[in-house]
Amino acid sequence: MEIKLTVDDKPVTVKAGSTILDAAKAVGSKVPTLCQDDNLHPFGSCRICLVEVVGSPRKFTPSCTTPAMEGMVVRTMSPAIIDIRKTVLELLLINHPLDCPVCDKAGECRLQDLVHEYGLGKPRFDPVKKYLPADYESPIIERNISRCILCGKCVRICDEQNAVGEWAFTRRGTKARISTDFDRPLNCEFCGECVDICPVGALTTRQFRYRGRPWNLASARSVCNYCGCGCVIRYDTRDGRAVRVVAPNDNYLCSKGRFGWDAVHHADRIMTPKMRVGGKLVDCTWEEAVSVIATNLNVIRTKRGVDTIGGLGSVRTTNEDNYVFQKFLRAVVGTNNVDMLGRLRIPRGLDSAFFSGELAKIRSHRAILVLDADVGEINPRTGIEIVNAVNRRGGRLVLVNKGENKFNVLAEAVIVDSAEAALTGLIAALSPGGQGVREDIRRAAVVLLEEPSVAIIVPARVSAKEVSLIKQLAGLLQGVTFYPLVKRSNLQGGLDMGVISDYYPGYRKQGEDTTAAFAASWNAMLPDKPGMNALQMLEGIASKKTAALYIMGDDPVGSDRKLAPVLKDLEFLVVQDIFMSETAKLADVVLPAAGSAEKSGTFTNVERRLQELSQAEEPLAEAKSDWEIIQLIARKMGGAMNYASPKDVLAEIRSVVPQYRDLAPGACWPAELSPIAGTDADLSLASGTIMKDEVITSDRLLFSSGMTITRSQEISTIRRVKVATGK
Amino acid sequence: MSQEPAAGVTETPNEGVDLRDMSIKPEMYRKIDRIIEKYRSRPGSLIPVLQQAQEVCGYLPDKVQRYIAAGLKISPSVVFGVATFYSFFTLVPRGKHVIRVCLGTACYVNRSEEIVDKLKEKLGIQVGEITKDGKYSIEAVRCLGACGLAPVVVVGQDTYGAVAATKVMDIVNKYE
Ligand code: SF4
Ligand code: SF4
Ligand code: SF4
Ligand code: FES
Ligand code: FES
Repeated sequence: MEIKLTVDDKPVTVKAGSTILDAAKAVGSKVPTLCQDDNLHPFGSCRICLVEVVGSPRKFTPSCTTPAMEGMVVRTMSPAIIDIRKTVLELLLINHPLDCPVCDKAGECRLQDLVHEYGLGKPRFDPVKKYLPADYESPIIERNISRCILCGKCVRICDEQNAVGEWAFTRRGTKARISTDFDRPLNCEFCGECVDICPVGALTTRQFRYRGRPWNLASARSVCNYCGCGCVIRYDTRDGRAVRVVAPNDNYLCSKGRFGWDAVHHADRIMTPKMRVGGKLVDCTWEEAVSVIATNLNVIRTKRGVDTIGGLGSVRTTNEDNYVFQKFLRAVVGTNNVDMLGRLRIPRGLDSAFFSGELAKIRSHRAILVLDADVGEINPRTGIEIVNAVNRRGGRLVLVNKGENKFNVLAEAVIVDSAEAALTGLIAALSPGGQGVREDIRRAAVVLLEEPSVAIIVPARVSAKEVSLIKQLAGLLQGVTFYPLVKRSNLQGGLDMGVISDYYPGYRKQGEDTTAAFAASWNAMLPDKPGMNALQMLEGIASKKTAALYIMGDDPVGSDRKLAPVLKDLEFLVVQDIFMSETAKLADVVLPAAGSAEKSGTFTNVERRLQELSQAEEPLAEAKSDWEIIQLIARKMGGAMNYASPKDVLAEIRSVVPQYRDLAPGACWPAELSPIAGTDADLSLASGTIMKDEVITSDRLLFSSGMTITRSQEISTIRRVKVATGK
Repeated sequence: MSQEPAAGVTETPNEGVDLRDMSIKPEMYRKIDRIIEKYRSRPGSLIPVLQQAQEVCGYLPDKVQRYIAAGLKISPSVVFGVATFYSFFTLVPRGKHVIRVCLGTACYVNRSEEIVDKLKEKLGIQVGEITKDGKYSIEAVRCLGACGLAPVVVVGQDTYGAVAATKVMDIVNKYE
């Protein structure tokens, strides 16, 4: 159904259900808004969007809540309306401090812009303003109640999108304000979404406080490095240093994405190359470090054999870094011993590397089965999509949760059990003669069966047993799409780039043909001996099968302390990282790598989406991008590598990795393009004798996963609050 | 460098809100459990639950509000928002006898404020407070719909019209 109306003398046709505001936008009329947001339920509180409907008894009506109707004649800019808007602004300013000179929102404030446009008006009201005190007690976020215009956006976003409901309208009349229960300090997910959406300076972040004026900032678009969702971010910099991160597309960012970037400024950053002299790591120059590495690798290659040298790539570095890394080991060092421990995190037997749907499509499913209730902590963005599916699309949530969290309230059916038991029960309930299943499981099964499309959120860690159950269950349901949780930001990219001992980039299994093909493209001799995988390399240390390791951007000792004595047996260990990790402490040479904000390149997120990072800051001190470091060493060892920038590397990736050939930035490569999707090929590593005790518990928590995030000052503040309040 | 505005009047955020949790006994929580149970699956049940809980406890302190929030699985901020919106709810304990003085227009022009002042002086408490012996509390209310009797004072369930400030203590003293 379509509706025809006239706005500002221009005829326009809109879809049924559109508001006058939508119609006004369609003809290009600029109607100001304060409380309206396309992603939130309409509220209609601020009245700044009033327009005139000719011939209507009410005459002035809020355009954001009034449906467009056939034949309506609307005026958005008559003198009468302008007058009304002025009055609305005057009323908003009665107790507004107008302290723009010290307000961090100035320059991006909707109220400031509107007053600037419409004028201050004459002061008709008591010039003595009533101020409410600012709240400086909350961590991370500051609340200046006097600046609040009670638009309710913070209240709605925290409830509708986050399902947290930290803010509420409290009190009434002139005392009304947004607050928490009994005005306690915030203790929420600290995503900062409310700050982002607040049209005025009532909510601001401490991180950005007095750090810059928006009109003096430069910016660089990049990608969050903290989980597999790979959300788009924008660094805003002042004098070449990042001062904040914002969401450039009005996209969601979690606390880690918005506030955790400051880890890159932490004092623990490695500043210069270091090498071990007389048992101690001492600072050295890049020339010294590079030549020590080249010499040692050459010596070990001659004395112990090339296959005693191995390299571990990273789930945190860019595609370009990983591509250059594996090429260095294969084409320059001459071994297929190149792999990554991130493979331990791939669900065994489930092609998780290829099957995730696009996250934004979670909300298009009618039913969602969440097998890991920690989804909101592991992949916050995925969690938000689930809330949206329920709150905005009426999707039906089936939750498997032994404990209790915010998803319980959203769920239509909760199975209080382990994932394995829930899966077994669901399969029984859905199979012929499925009698005698527990009531909670039966209810859940009914929901899943009734709906034509089901999203299954697959846990970040699943056993082989669970995988086969998931597959079995999927066979009993309609329209199933999997969405695996992936903790590490560039696991997908690392796999795509061939940081897998028996696959070349693009999942091309090593064999005579592929080796010949890559030897031709790389113009190099390639080894035909199969390589050791990441675990075999570590296990091989004791038996002297591994003599030297080059570790880029990973910290195996940090994950499993028992590896420390093992790594000590290496003849030569190189670690390149941003922080002095537990592994780096054992190295013979330590190389300072550039942090996420300091480099450009690409990531490939869990959706197989190519995401571009652009450099926001110069690398700290002596730090360099990983690919650049590897290239220095490759050249020292006589390899022909001549990349001038990550762009050159990406161009080469496009020429040898079919999935990337025509992949536009921001697009996802289709799973069908993987030669091994749907085959028996398994990219997972089963932990053997080593890395069994990987610390996974602390890994799970939103605010303490990984070496980098724990070095964010802002996130540490949140963590302290969480620990102190036991929440 | 303070963002706090220099001029103007500043209020404290807790004004009128007493955080003390007086006299909420275990059996009261059991009663609240039953109220929550009754309303749990009904939408829009917060207001009746708060009303009945206030009947049980006499007022709605923070612990009770958070208890209700957990029981109804809603955010405690929302509970607080509703409890502070309706003047019917009180967050501080009320006296055995609640003295409500109307400050609506009709009563106000008939000097009901003097009544309030007299009560404050004689009972030694402010509006919204409770006497030490727990007997009385004073509340200021808007028009009670009995303007013809202005100024109006209500003690408990009893309404008194045309009250003179000088006589108000005679009325109060009738309530033990
Ligand atoms: S920071 Fe996020 S979770 Fe906390 S109140 Fe704001 S929107 Fe809600
Ligand atoms: S704090 Fe900001 S977003 Fe929230 S109601 Fe006030 S003005 Fe609106
Ligand atoms: S959801 Fe993941 S990728 Fe997105 S901002 Fe949070 S940590 Fe970063
Ligand atoms: S934007 Fe329409 S009422 Fe606020
Ligand atoms: S003004 Fe007091 S009863 Fe109406």
